[in-house]
Amino acid sequence: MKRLAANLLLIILSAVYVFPIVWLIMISFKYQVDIFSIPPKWIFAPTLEHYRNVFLNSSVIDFLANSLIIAVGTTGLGLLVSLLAAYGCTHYASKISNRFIYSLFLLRMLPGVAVVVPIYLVASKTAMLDNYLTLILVHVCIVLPIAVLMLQNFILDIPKELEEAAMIDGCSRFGAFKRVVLPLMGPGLIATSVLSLIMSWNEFLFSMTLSGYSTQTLPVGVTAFMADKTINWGEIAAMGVVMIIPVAIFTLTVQKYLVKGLTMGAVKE
Amino acid sequence: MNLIELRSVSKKYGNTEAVKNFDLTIKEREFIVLVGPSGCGKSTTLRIIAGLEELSEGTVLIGNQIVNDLAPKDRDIAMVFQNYALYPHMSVYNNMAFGLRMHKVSKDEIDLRVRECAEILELTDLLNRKPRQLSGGQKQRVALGRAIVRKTKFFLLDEPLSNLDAKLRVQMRAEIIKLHRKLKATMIYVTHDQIEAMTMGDRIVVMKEGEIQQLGTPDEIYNYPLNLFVAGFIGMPPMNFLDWDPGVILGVRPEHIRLSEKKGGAGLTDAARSSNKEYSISGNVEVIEYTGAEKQVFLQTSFGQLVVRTEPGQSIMEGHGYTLSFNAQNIHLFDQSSGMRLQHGFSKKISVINE
Repeated sequence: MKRLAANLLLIILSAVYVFPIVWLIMISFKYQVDIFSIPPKWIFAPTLEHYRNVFLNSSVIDFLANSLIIAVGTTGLGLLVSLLAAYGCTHYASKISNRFIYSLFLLRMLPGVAVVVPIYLVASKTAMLDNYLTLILVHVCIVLPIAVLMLQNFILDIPKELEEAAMIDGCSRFGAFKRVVLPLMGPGLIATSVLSLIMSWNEFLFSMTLSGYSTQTLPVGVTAFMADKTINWGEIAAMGVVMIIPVAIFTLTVQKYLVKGLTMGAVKE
Repeated sequence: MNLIELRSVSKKYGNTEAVKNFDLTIKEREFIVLVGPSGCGKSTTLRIIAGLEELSEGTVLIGNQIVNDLAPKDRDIAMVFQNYALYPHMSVYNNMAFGLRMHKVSKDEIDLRVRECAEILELTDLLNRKPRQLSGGQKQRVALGRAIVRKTKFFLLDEPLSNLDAKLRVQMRAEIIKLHRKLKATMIYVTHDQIEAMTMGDRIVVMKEGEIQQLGTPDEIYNYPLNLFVAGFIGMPPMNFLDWDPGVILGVRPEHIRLSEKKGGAGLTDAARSSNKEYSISGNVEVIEYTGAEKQVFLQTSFGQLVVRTEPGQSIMEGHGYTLSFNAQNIHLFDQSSGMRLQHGFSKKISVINE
């Protein structure tokens, strides 16, 4: 009975999360008339019309490429910076470094809208608008606080004697980090990169403001189908599906490590 | 040649001083044991020698070279950690080969040395396993192997046996002693276990609160403890302390007291009698602990509770009164206020550290 209740709860919860995605996919295959029919149609004649429109009448491939470049760049740079920051704050711990970690969260506490205008002005004055690097740097700032905190927990999970043993065995501190700490952080690195990839991939506000024709990302591209009078829901949904697919594939591939990574920080073996 | 020398070494963490003004000279091929209760600074001292801990004051010399600022990797040391610290992502073979690779030893030489060392420690069958597939005792041997394969001049061992069960601990104790003889290396061994210290050390450093209490051979430490702390810390069951004269504490080890039937009745305690050679007091047996090899008898006397080790064959009854007698040769007198030893007859034999 308890099991049944638990299962029921899981089913309901999954439904809550899965329903919008299912709805999105359904809309992307519906004719315009079916999209607005009341009551909603669960069974309908499918069409690829919206996908055709998306791929033929927009630069979706460019958007996809831009998103990919920015997300991968953000993840790469973000991981590098946050790994060094997390390591430094763990091993040279002081009152300052502890505060530093939490002060990073100020970045997250500020609503993006509050800083988007100043950042826009800086970027425009330095001719950095419509530039991959600008977007990557801004995205790194968004990802950094969580990445540092996550990675710090993973580093704390590795006994410091392991590093000391490596240092006595002939490694420098950096050598010990590279040869012993880093290999043991695999799951942590994967979990952090998934998170950072998704955050950058979905980011809208800054991408919208700071990108131009050549750097538009997918979330920004979606808005192209919102005209003054009409909103092309079918195309928007199709583009949403296109947007979900790469992240979904990546996440499912590394799922095994992701689960391990997300729990490893919390549970001591 | 003095292999390692610590000169007035101190280590402070904020306001607490973990190691105070520590002087120690370790000879070549010596097995030296640092022993003391937890928090006495013994591990910190070891980590200072290893270079894992920066010292606040003083000098550390290895050979005749000052190594204060030398990185651990340049000190020609190997270390065994309490929790073994095996690299979890490497096989036993690679755990042992790692240090040699870092020192750019040739591949053939590495293979030779790892296999030779695995042979000594009976690890040959386990070389391809990962640490998580090993039992506690096996992990311990790999940790030892990782250290000895390096063939360094000296080895630092930080409570290497404390995570093992009692039986394995005794076994590994003997293994380490054998290894020490075989390798002819200098070993510095940290433990909180006084039995390990007594059985393994050529010399023992007894520490408390960051300070050396006494430095000497097991024999000196056991028979001529310099103060109340050392007297009470070394020996199991611990030495009995009696408030003998005002300001004087008399210590006598449980094995040096004889029990005999008390003549003339069951009064709880009589006044103590002492002649030049023999001391005797009376007491009542409260508890008897039988260990198989001996009986440990706890008695209540007018000087407080005492424990006596007796032959298992001697018949002793709980609740009965006995006479406890011990020879003047076997007593230790300490000053009550300072805790320092009062007899000086053998001060030549022992190296006095504390003033």
